[in-house]
Amino acid sequence: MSDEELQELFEAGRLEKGKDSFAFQKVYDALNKEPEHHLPAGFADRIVKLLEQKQATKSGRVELVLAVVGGIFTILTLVIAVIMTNFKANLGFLNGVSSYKGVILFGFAFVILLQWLDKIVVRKKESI
Amino acid sequence: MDDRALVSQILAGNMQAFRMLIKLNERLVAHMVSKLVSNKEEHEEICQDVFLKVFDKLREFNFQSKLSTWIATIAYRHAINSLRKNRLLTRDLPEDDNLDRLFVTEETPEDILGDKDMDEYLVRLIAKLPAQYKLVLSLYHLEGLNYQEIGTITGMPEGTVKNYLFRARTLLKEKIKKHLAEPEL
Repeated sequence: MSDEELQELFEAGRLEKGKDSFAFQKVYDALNKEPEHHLPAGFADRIVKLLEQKQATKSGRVELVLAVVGGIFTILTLVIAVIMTNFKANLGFLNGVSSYKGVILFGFAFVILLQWLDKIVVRKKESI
Repeated sequence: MDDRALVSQILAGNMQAFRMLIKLNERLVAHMVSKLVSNKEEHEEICQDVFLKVFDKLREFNFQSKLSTWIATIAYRHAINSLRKNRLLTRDLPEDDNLDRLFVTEETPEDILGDKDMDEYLVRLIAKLPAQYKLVLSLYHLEGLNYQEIGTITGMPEGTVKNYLFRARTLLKEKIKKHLAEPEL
């Protein structure tokens, strides 16, 4: 009996006598044994986490692109509106506030002071 | 949950369903990749890439085969490509008629006698088989896939799959036969 025929008989669950059959029995037993090739326990969780991170990065990128496109359209709309309406900037209102130079300068200095205080006191505390 | 329900849940954004898909198929993918890649770190990295690819391509799955067969096909192609990239595949893909020449062990009968039993020796012999043979044997004997399914995964004709199985088993049988005592049947 050929090896091929023997294997076919084996597959059909029919055992033949003899050394070849015995050897095939050993081979089939070894082949049907579970080898030790396992992935780590948290493998599935790791993949899902990776995918979630990937999706978050992707959506962040989409938001950035949308913001840039939105900005460009806003500027374009402004330019078109200026051209179509023949708009000219009128800075005459500055004449009215020219007599309050001290108040305006104090305002600027106060805002800068607040920013500085925020930087050295509040943000430093938060980082600790 | 059947393949259709599982896929539609994943496509609807249910990551719990994808976690389930991984758990259902990680054993199959791990076994397949292990037959082609022996390095443990590389093995895990390829398995990870396989599931990331499955997630990306899931929309393309058309239910023409079982989901596990489709995943195994991706795993096979990905592992083969990574072997090709690392130029490890050429020596591991034997021509049809030189398997015997490639599958040579330098063990003496004394080495074999040193083994605990014949099973250990067989495991070592199987590990020395060319990758494609190991893969086909594993898919058939451990995963219980039929010739057609193995053919779909590996792209081999059914006849080739059958031939690989018969030849590998015959070769293993011949190797151990001379060291076996006459059975008492």
